[in-house]
Amino acid sequence: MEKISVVNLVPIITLASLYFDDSLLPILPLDLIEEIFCRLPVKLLLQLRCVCKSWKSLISDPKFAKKHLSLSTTRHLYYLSYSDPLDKYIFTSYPLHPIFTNISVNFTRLEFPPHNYDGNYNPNTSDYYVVGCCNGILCLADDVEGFIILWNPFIEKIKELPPFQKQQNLYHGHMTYGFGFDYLTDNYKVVVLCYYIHDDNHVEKMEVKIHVLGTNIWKNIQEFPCDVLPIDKSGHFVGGAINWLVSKVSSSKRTIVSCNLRNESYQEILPPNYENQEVCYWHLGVLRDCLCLICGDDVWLMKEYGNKDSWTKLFTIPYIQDPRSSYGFTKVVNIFEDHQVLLEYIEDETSMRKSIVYDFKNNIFKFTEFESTPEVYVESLISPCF
Amino acid sequence: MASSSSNLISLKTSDGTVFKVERALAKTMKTVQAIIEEADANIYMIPIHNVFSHHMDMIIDYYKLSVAGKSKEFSVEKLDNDELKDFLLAVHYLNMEDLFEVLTQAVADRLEKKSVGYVRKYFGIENDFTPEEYAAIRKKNDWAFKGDDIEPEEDEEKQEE
Repeated sequence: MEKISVVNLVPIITLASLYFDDSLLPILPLDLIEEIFCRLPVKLLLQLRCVCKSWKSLISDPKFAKKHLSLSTTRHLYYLSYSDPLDKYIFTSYPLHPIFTNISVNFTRLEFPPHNYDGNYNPNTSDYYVVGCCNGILCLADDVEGFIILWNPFIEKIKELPPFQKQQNLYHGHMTYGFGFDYLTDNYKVVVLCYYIHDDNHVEKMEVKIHVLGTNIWKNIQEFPCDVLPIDKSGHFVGGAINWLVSKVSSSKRTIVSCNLRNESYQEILPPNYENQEVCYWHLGVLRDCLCLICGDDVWLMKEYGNKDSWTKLFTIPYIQDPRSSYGFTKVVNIFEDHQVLLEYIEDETSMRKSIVYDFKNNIFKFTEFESTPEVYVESLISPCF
Repeated sequence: MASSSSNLISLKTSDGTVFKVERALAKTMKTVQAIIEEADANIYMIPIHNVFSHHMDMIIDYYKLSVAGKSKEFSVEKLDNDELKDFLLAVHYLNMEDLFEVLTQAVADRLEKKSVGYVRKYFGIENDFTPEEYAAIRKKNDWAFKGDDIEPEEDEEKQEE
């Protein structure tokens, strides 16, 4: 047999012998399949776990969950509602884009508590609301009982946080929460502000506690600045910090105070200047990962977190002809293609929250038929259980 | 570092065709770039195993479009599933980051709305679970197997036999 000398500068793997089966159909190696999986939706990935053992290992691996999240660009909408007959909370999710078309939408409905649950939830006393959503994990709080849970509805994993110590004199007690992610430690944190307002409007004890996921304690951190009162039930996670809209006790002027999740320090984030602040309602939210402030009918976006000069007025909402009732705008849920927004408003008469789509380039309104105002989120395989 | 008097690199595909490509294009192929950098002398011709001329044609198409800022116009729609997988393997071997992302996304787009049975066939995977193990996994997160958008899985019946 002739000796064939092969001159190679770099050892070259012959793919043919590794990746082709007898019928010469290309077979992809697992690392390549992983790259494809990173671009698939969560629901399909959960199904693909039953294909074979190596796929199940791959998809169940927390490292894969993180990689999948980092490549995830698809955003969805969700809302949480309560079903009386079922005694459960329902998480409803649907894709973001069909809002402006009449294509029938694929809803995904997931329940809390799920069928295998054995935790603290008691349908007779629990009253959860959404604190926030981060990386596909929802944070729900029950003020009454002081329970907080972290929940990824897609993988049906629930983490019940240890109860934080509740002070006596709860009658005057108020709590506001925040949920976010610390990039430095690659971990999730929940913040609770506890304060007490006496009859003479004197604010006492703005105690702040932080829970780091994976530990089983609440840690007291530096007290919140005492000359301000939070306006919202929960803060907003932007710029690595939880941001609360607050009003100054002395002057009723509004501003934003943030608690940095990494170094646990506070900072005042100055809002845009308004002379007659007291006249209109303000609402703080998040839009495209930036702080979004609605001052009356003006919608502002803080394009560079922490920089007061970067507050940009996106648009002013004009008066909407609606003879039924007066209303106030509370939230910009999402902005599409830079000129269309999904807005939430509250009807003053009924206190019902509704949503509307407003194109501010062409000044066109369209009422939507959502049951509840949705929020934007990113689905993930990340588990809150460490 | 290999020096070359011309700006063209010669690449020889598995089916014997020689392509003279711009140095900039060869740079996008990390595998080729590594060969060039390791060589002491001038490289006359670099063999690229498992890459065929029809792959190179598409690679050059993509390169031309991306240089013109039109990489979004590149499409692999005309490739059938096996051709796409084959092309993906070639690009993976050549270690071309951007094109690799485009192709993995293209495969993901094709699989997104399909059933588990379809995906299993697509990758040619054998089920190595026992019926009990399989049932246990199905039960976990069973909501994912329900819904209007789920196609029935052909081998589900076989498992229950």
